Amino acid sequence: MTRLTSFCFCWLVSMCCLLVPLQVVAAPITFVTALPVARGEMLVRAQTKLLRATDDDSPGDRDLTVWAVPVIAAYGITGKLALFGVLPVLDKEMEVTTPLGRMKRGDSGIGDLTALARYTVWKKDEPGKTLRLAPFMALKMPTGQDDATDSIGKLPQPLQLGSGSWDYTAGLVLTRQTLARQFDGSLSYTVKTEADGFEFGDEIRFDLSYQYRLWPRRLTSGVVGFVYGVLESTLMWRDNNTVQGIDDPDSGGVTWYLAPGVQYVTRRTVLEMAVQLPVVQNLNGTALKNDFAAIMSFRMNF
Amino acid sequence: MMKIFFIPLVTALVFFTCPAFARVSSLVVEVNGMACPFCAFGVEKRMQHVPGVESVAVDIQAGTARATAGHEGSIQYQDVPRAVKEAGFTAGDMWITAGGRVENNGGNGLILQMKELFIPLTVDDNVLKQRLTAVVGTGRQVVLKGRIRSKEGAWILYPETMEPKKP
Repeated sequence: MTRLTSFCFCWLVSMCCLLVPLQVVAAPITFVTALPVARGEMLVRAQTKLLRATDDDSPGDRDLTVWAVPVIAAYGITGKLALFGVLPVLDKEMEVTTPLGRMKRGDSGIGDLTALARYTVWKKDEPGKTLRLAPFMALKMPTGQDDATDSIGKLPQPLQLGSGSWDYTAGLVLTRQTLARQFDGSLSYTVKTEADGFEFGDEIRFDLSYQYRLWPRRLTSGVVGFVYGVLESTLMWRDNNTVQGIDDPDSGGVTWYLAPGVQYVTRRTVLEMAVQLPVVQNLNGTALKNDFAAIMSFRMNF
Repeated sequence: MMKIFFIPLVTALVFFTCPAFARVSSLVVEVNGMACPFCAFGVEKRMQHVPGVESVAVDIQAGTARATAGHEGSIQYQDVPRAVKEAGFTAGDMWITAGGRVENNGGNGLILQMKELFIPLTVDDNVLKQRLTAVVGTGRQVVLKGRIRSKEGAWILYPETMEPKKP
């Protein structure tokens, strides 16, 4: 059970990163951007994400499937300040071999709510291009259920819909956008807090995204739809989780994902998809490794 | 008591001497920083909040937004840079199409007199300056097209073309 718990801890941390991105305005698929949300205007993004993790060396032979539908709303307070809210709907299921045989455990429902504020501190606007820098802060609130049970008893913390903790993120994003391409880079640090005697390890995340306009090759007047090819990179370091104040050796580590994808962008909508593939998963102990995360997303300007 | 008659009289005179086309009927503004279709929508929305604007068309390639006034409406061009800023971008140069009468502003050059508003004119082209001067005091209505800029808090129109009022 301890190993199972450890695995779940590690997995949940990665899931928090993979399944609840905060970006809604424009180009990157898996993280935030510095592009503006107009004052008084609202954008909504709905994603569907599938995470599979089956690479397990432990006797438990764990097999994890997570479906997540984070709904993200963004509102422009001013041309520089935007607020974001993220509310995920989750369905988590894990198969594991136990002394009683192969078992399925999991839960589904609403997860933890995250609020994020982003402020553009510097920008350089030119005809057809922009360069901007925006720090952001996020607060994850324990709105999801964190004490669900099944026939065996209370679900391990990582299979709960919510972590039960208040978590804080601070970061900085740089965006360069031209008519032909876009580059985003983001660095963030997340402080996790204790809940129910458990604390997820803090996390540092470094994201890069490059988008290249594939179509139309030549622009015409007006506002036409763009098709972008996208390649994103996510490098994450996670500290060990702690259980009752003691470090869990089977949690934390370094992961690096690459996510090729495609976007279709019009003036009111964005349709996008990407597959996040692990390149490096240097995890501690027997943490379960991810196979992939598939992301499909739709955004709308209101 | 005199005010009761005076105010409507002045109002009526203004409207009779400055007909419906004495107005800013369209405007083009450079939107610096706008580089994707999804961003363009925010510009459209904010521009539509500018008084007098009926429709907005954004051109991504040119990096501009064109606003058109409704029938007999006049675009409050002074609010356009703020609208672009509220969309998260930076307003560049702005061009307007404005109709009205060209008048002398005392000894301070020419103005385009619209309804209750006038815009000082700065004309570098001597030929155009002569044409403008020729219509001063005639009551003829003209349509000017040109760049408009804010200089020390005052808006100045730099006309590039002048056309007579179309019937």
